[in-house]
Amino acid sequence: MSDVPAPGDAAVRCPHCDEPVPPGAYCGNCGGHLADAEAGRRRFAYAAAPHESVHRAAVVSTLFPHLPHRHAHVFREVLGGGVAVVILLAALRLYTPATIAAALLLPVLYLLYLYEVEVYEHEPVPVLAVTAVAGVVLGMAYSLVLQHVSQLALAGTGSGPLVSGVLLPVIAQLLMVAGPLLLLSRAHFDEVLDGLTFGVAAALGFTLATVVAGEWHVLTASLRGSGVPTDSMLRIVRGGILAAVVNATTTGLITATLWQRRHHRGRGRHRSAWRGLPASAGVALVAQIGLGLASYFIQDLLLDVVVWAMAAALLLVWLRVVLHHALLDEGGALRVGAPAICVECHHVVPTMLFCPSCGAARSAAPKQLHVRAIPAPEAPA
Amino acid sequence: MSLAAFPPYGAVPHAHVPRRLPDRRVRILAAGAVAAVTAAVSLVAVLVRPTTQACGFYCGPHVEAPLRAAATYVNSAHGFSIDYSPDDLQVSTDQPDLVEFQAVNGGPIGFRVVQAASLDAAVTQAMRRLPSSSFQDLQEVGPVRGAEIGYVPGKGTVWSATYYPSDGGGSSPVRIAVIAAQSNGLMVVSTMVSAYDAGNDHAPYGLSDDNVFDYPVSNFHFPGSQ
Repeated sequence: MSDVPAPGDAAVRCPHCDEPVPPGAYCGNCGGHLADAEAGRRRFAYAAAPHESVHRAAVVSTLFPHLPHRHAHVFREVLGGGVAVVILLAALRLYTPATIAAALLLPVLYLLYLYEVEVYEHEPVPVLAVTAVAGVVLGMAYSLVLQHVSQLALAGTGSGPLVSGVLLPVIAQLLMVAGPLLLLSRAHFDEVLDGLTFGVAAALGFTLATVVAGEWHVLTASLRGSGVPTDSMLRIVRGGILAAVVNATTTGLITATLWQRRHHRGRGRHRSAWRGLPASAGVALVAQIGLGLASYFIQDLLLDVVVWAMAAALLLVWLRVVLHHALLDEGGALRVGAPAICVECHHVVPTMLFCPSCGAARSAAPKQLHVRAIPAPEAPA
Repeated sequence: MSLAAFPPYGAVPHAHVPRRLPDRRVRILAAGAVAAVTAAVSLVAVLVRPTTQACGFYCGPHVEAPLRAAATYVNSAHGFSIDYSPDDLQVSTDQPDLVEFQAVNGGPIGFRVVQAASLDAAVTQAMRRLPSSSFQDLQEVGPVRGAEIGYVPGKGTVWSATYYPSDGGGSSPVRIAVIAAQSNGLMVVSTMVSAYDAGNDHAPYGLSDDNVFDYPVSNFHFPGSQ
């Protein structure tokens, strides 16, 4: 790392952090927009994917934040294609494959993502064991216990709203957070996005297990089912995909803010009680309880799916707001490193906390690349 | 914001940025993994599918425990009453137009006072009242032969369905029997939901709780019929 640029190095003074930084669109130290003194929070450019607004309900750039946008489109295509295949299978009344494909879609993509960005660093087995695998085991146990407690009723459940809408969703949420807590004390997993990734992995494992265990009867029924395909389609989309997104978002929200609080990597520039751990845990639990009560009281499946989809979208935006400010807040003293390639925009820029050219947070780059920057290519002789 | 606005920072070709998984491999791995696991689990699910065995000649008579106690539910709004066994059933909902009993180890049975143009219309109404989020894959099994409530002849239909409890519990196959009857100007629809029992000849239409439901349905007293 070199020293702070001297005035003669054509440094500019950032209007947000007041540090001399290399010129560019963004401050490499605080991530603020250099040309606009009012845009310290730059809500138009999400810190993990600056080409997107913060207030956007995007699944991939929110739950897979380490992916550079030139690579994220493949995951987005696969996710979209997968949802289309699930709907097609359900329309053909192939409910068993449709249910399994819906349950597997996000977990498989997430495993590929973990491999691609190496969030687990040199400990893939322990990390996967206490996140995804622990989520599967806890989800299976939760589902099996619930099957013995659940009672057949004309209204859809024999349990009252307190049990169905409040108690069970809270228990499920706590179980999803349990696995990642074992990694909280690891010093080298100290970034907000580490917490997010572990939480999302555990939640996706949990949801996968609850879908497979809960729908085992459907899976072992005739391969080609009966009934109205629209109903089954809606049920599969809600249980396999929307529930996975909701659970991943609420769990990621809790674990990300837990990591932020535990490891104190923030500079306090973007701190707010609304984005802290108590507020995030409150939002996650209120969302789970709200959806539990909605499923209890709403008897029309289509309306239920619409409510779940809207909740998933709102939670994604809330999570992005929390992550965006946490990424802008992370960091320490001003340091300007040797020129390296930004994995987000592919420009050769000084190695800093943020890319001066596109504003991407360096801690949102794939783990192996933000630990070890890609050196700029040699200029031709 | 155009990145080209900052010419000091030159861009490098995409090939200079290393990736562990090229785009094509992500597509192949994701599609392959989902397809392979889906096929494998579907195969296992088909292979372990429970087989039903008709009871037929080899089954002995179905012996029920004697009725240990009897209680009577009285609806003051419409003047009907229902005898039931509190050992087997408990009142779970009590409203002027609706009473629901919950079998201690089984499904629910409800009696609702309705107004409909015909008994068939009352049966259809009752089915529409079931929450679509919990009762899916509805398939008509057939009419209930000799359908009656309180020995008043009526009309009834049985459906098969998959039950998805809204508390997230596991799905299960169920049978739904709906019977409507009318006497002394009061039209009543009874809706029974029970776990599906395919291998028991003593479970008409596959309703495993039929023996529990039979007593209150038979001992329903329309007003003026005591």
